[in-house]
Amino acid sequence: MSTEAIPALSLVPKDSAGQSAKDFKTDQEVRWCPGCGDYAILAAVQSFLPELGLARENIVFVSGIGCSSRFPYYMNTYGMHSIHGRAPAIASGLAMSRPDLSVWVITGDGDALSIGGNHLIHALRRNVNLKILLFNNRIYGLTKGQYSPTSEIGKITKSTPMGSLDYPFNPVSLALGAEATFVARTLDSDRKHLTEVLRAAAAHEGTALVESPPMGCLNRGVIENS
Amino acid sequence: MSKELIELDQVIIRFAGDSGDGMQLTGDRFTSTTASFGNDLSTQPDFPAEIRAPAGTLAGVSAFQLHFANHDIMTPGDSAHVLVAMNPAALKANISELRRGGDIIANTDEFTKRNLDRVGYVSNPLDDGSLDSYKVHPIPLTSLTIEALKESGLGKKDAERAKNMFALGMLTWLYNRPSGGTIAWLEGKFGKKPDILRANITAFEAGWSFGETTEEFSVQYEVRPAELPHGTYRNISGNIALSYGLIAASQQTGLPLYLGSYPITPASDILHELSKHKHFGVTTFQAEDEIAGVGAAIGAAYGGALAITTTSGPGVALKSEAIGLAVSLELPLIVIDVQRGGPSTGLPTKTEQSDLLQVMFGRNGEAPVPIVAPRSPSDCFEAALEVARIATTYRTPVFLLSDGYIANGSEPWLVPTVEDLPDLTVTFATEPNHTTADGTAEYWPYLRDPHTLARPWAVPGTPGLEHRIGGLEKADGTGHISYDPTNHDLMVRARAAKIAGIDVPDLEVDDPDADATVLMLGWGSTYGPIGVACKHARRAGIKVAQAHLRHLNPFPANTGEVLKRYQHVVVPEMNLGQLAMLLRARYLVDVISYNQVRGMPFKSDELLQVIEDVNANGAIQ
Repeated sequence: MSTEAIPALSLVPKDSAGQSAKDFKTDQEVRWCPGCGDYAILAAVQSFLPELGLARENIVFVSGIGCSSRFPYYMNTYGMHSIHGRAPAIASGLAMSRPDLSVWVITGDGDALSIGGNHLIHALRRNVNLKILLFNNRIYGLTKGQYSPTSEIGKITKSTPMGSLDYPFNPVSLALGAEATFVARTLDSDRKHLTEVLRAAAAHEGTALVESPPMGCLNRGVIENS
Repeated sequence: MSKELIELDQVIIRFAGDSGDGMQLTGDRFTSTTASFGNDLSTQPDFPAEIRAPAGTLAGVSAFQLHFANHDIMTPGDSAHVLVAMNPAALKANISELRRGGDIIANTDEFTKRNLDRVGYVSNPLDDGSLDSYKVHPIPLTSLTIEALKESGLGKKDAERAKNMFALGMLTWLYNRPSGGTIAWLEGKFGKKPDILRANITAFEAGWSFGETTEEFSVQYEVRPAELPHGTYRNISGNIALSYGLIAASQQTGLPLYLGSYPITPASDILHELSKHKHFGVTTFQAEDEIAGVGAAIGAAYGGALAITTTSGPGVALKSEAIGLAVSLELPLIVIDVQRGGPSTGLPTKTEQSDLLQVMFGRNGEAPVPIVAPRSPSDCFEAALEVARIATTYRTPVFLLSDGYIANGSEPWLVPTVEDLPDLTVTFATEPNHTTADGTAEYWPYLRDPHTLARPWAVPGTPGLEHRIGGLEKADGTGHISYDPTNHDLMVRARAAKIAGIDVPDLEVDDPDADATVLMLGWGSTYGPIGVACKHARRAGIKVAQAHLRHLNPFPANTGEVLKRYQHVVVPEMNLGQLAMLLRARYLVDVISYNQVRGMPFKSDELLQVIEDVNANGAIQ
């Protein structure tokens, strides 16, 4: 599909040199736990972006805090690793003032649904041109294993030794309740489905929420970080 | 009948009534008329925070004070010459603001037993002799208005609502003001409601004629235009001057203005005003909360906008973490704090200067932020340009500390010409700034300018300069994440040195004969009352110097020298001594801190007393 035909991207300058996945890789060593699904999502995004054919300098990844929020450091685009929960607000300001950019938010269940819950629902109802990738691992990984707003009832974690009492959020229901115009759930282990969902999200005019549960979480947090 | 015309140098009128009586509007209109007449003026609204307290109660009283003169004035005045009291509550709540011998114009229709009881008057003060030291003008404003409008076809309730226009007409006559401006304004406001328009004009004209014919007023007063420097003037409040200053800064920097904000008293008017100016490339965003307001502004700053967030003290507390992020990202960001009484919700509609230490220190880690404070409503325009200069030159968040008194007060402003505005042109990075050993050209986002210590500003959309920044500590130069202890020490010191090295003008001292022993040193909105007090002290033969700090971080380079030049330094503040604490810590000078937190500006008489005390005894009695 040519990006010329995608109205959501019509204002973003196009790449002329031809891109491959490796153009989107940085020299930073990727540091997630071995086996983490975040690796698969990163690889899928890096191989899918050349397909959009956008000028690399017009792509921005904004993240909050959490394992997944390391993502921008691994993308050879513009990027900001911001503060806990606020990425949708920061990205909204950027997308609103710069319609020539393709702006992506990388977030997790604690970041998007707990500390940043308010920003997420308002970003969804406001519907500015943002693509939000929510890595839902149902745990606080970076702080090494507390229960999150998507943890199952009864889940034993460091902060819930007798099991979690809280009823978890269903991110899809939450997004639909906020009148989101694009909501999708995909799987890190199904590359084909994941890529297809990313493609549809990119083509959506407005805010798109893509939830993906990285299933391989070992709850150990980002290596050499806390 | 032509009455005697008495010329006065200055008049202070205080309009007071129930929140529903339209006193702010009446005051505003009288102010506009006075401004167009050419007087110098200064105003101060004083209204309750309640949405609408029950009618006739003390809590529901809303007042507006206007000081106008044939000469240069600096404050809305200590106490009024004239009090317009629309009901007993307004009289009771404001009588202490009227000077002995002053005029009270009271709406007798509202002085009923029930209304008197409600505010605790045992007898009617208008005729029990308790107001003998004032000149009381009992006038049935409500019934006169209804009478004037009996042909209008309006019901009694609607007719009654025009009584503020009757009062305005009467005062317009009494002070010999032109009435054309008010008529034109009414036509603009009610053009689509001809009944209401006619009623308001009729009430206004009836008030004017009543003033001319009633024996209650035997004289008419005149205050001639002030002789101010030649140019085009307009009346302006602090929040509007600030809004215009920010738009001017956007034009002068060449950056589109982006405001991320959340409604809060007394800062919301800046959001309201800026939202009218899309044609200047202004984008305003009413966010879901204070944090999103500043967050969106940071996003816009990353994208190359002149990014602003506006708030008051409680909002600054919420934004603190994000301001720390901007310190770490080293992106330009203007944070406007229109201070109000605190702590917590405090006194939303009252003024205070108690956020100085919050904005100076209220962040985790070593997170220095420059601070600029305007000193009067019109000065907000220049202060806005100054914070834009600092933010863009040094790539840093900057605080502008206004307050409720400056924000809502107004004064004439000499409209500057565009040619006189400073050139603030910003240059973005467009080329790599580093070459590796193997000859590869790279962009290092944290390679500092050796003079300003600012990092380059490369905005998305610039090919070849793709880079990632964040709130984690960065390696000097490359900007990569770094946990290296020495690098952290270096970066903390570099950020501190950058702010400490900001180029700010020297502190100017007004010491006419250069022989004063007492220095009155203020910051922010205390400029007017301190200035008037110094003027009066000098008239009384006391040698006193005045200096006013606009830059509170960093302080002007000569601050220590100025402090040490005087035997006594008095620092009046509407807090418990926040600037005094900073000066003592920084310069080891034993300044005398003088404080009040009544939610109102200083009275100049009170400060005159302070000057007299310190001059005579070296201390405040």
